[in-house]
Amino acid sequence: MSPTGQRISKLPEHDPRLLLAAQAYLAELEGGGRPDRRAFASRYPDLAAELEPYLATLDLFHSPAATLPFGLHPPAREEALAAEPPGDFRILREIGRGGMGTVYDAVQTSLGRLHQIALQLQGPRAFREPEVAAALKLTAQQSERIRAVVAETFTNGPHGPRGPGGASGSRHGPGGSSEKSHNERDRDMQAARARILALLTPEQTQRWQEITGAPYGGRVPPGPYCSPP
Amino acid sequence: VADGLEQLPSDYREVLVLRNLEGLTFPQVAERMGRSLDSVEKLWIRGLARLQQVLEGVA
Repeated sequence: MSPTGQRISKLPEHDPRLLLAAQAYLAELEGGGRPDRRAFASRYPDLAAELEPYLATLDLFHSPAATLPFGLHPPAREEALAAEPPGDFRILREIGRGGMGTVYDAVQTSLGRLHQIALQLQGPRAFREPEVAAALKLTAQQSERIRAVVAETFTNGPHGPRGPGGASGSRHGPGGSSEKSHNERDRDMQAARARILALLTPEQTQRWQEITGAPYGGRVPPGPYCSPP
Repeated sequence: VADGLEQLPSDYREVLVLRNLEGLTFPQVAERMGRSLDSVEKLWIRGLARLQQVLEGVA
């Protein structure tokens, strides 16, 4: 069964009101509200059925269910697990029991996987996050060098201009020839990250890997939404 | 959600993480990604659609 209970069956750009409605719903969520999804969708009578799966997906980002599921564990481990979860997980609640064991809802107490992905997406900027700097115990000299790499990267790098006579072929907007392609930006980000990692001690590098977890996958499953606009 | 995000094409993943997890505004996301605001908004709504499909496939 779908986690959202419904399917998105059409390309969203078929009706621009979907975007506006989804943004309005997100604004309510971010305002701390707990909007009733169906009631909200009913404000758009001819769009309600199409809109509701989008709202359900947005709910996932603002729900306790967005925390990491702990999964099934053998009954023999249940008591020990509840008393002392492995790693830095904290059990939130028991979801249910069955023949295969007990299902817990838990969060990683240091950094959740979503946060790990966010840090990875920040690329070299992640090293300037206060929590990262503190966890790595960066020295003032390291921080200054990292600051220089980040400044250089983001002045002339991933999001900066190519400069006069830059190669064409970018797909980013009407002024595409003045902006870097996504592949070029990724390459610059990776180069900057490598430069920063080279500044770290082995212990700091290991800690960095612990903080950011496994690299997120780049799998692109087939589907109608695979091609970016 | 994390599993679903990991399976998205990088553009979709980036816009959803920046907007929904980091809480940047759309103009900030556009600046960060080096795209136009209109492009980012379309990418976001498409990313939601794609995420929903991926989660459905995972479940």
